[in-house]
Amino acid sequence: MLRDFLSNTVLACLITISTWALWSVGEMRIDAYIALYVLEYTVVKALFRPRRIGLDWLMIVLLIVFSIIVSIRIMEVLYK
Amino acid sequence: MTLDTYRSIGLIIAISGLILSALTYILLGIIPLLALWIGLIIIGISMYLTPSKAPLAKETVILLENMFSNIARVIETFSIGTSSIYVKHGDEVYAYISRHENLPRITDNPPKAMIITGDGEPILVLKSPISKPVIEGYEEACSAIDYVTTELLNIADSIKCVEEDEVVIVEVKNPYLSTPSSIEKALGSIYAIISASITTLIRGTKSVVEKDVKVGNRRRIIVRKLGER
Repeated sequence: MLRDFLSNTVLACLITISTWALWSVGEMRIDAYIALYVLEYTVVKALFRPRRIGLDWLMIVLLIVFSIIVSIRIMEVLYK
Repeated sequence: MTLDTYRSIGLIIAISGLILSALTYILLGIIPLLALWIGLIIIGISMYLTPSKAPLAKETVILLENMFSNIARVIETFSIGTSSIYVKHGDEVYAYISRHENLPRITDNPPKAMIITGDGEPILVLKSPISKPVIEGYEEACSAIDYVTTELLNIADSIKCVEEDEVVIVEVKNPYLSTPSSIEKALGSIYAIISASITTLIRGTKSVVEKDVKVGNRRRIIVRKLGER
């Protein structure tokens, strides 16, 4: 149970730090922020293995969003 | 599915993040601030999805404790519970409970009877619930104890564990299960049974629970190996 709460605390810290870091270097692309959040959520999930009520649909939604972001970037490169 | 305080806070954070991100996008258009609110939504949903209670239902805990009390009654009936030695037989572990630490000659196969005699004294032989297939792939006692206690059974918050040549020292933080006192005296607590069984399985030697005490919301266990079989 401790690791469940710890995982949320670590996630909150990571999101705050990464937002501050990207903001301070002048990053203005929203997809860069979201991609980093998805990465952080995945790392926290792999490290702490927090329990979830039912299916972890947040992970699924984040992965779908991440896939869309990557697909748009690839399409931009291909069709430029 | 009840909505407790922790999950309610998570839901409030997620909804607040949603409202703030919509307002920021429409009125301000500051991307990093919008990203911060999106991050807040993720944290809120993560909190909402986190269960704040142990997965073992109260009824399941009562069921387990009642099962243990039956074994306690057997030990009390025969007055044989002062010392227990854990012995590996193949992929399984058996606890030999007796008044003394002198065991009869241990064979490769476990005794067929539940009660045997050694030096004229009755010895109760109980099969441990932990066997090799349960901890398949684990080479270290500490990581296996952590896996069984906090992940497989989820009967404690966390485990601190140190392995030395002769002993395995385990500290269980916030154990959820209690054990009848007569069982605790003879076999040790459920946490000691798990620790001793895993130590015996992984090291392949006889083990004994040297210390098993509750200090505040922690339980400290020392399992000592008793030399080669």
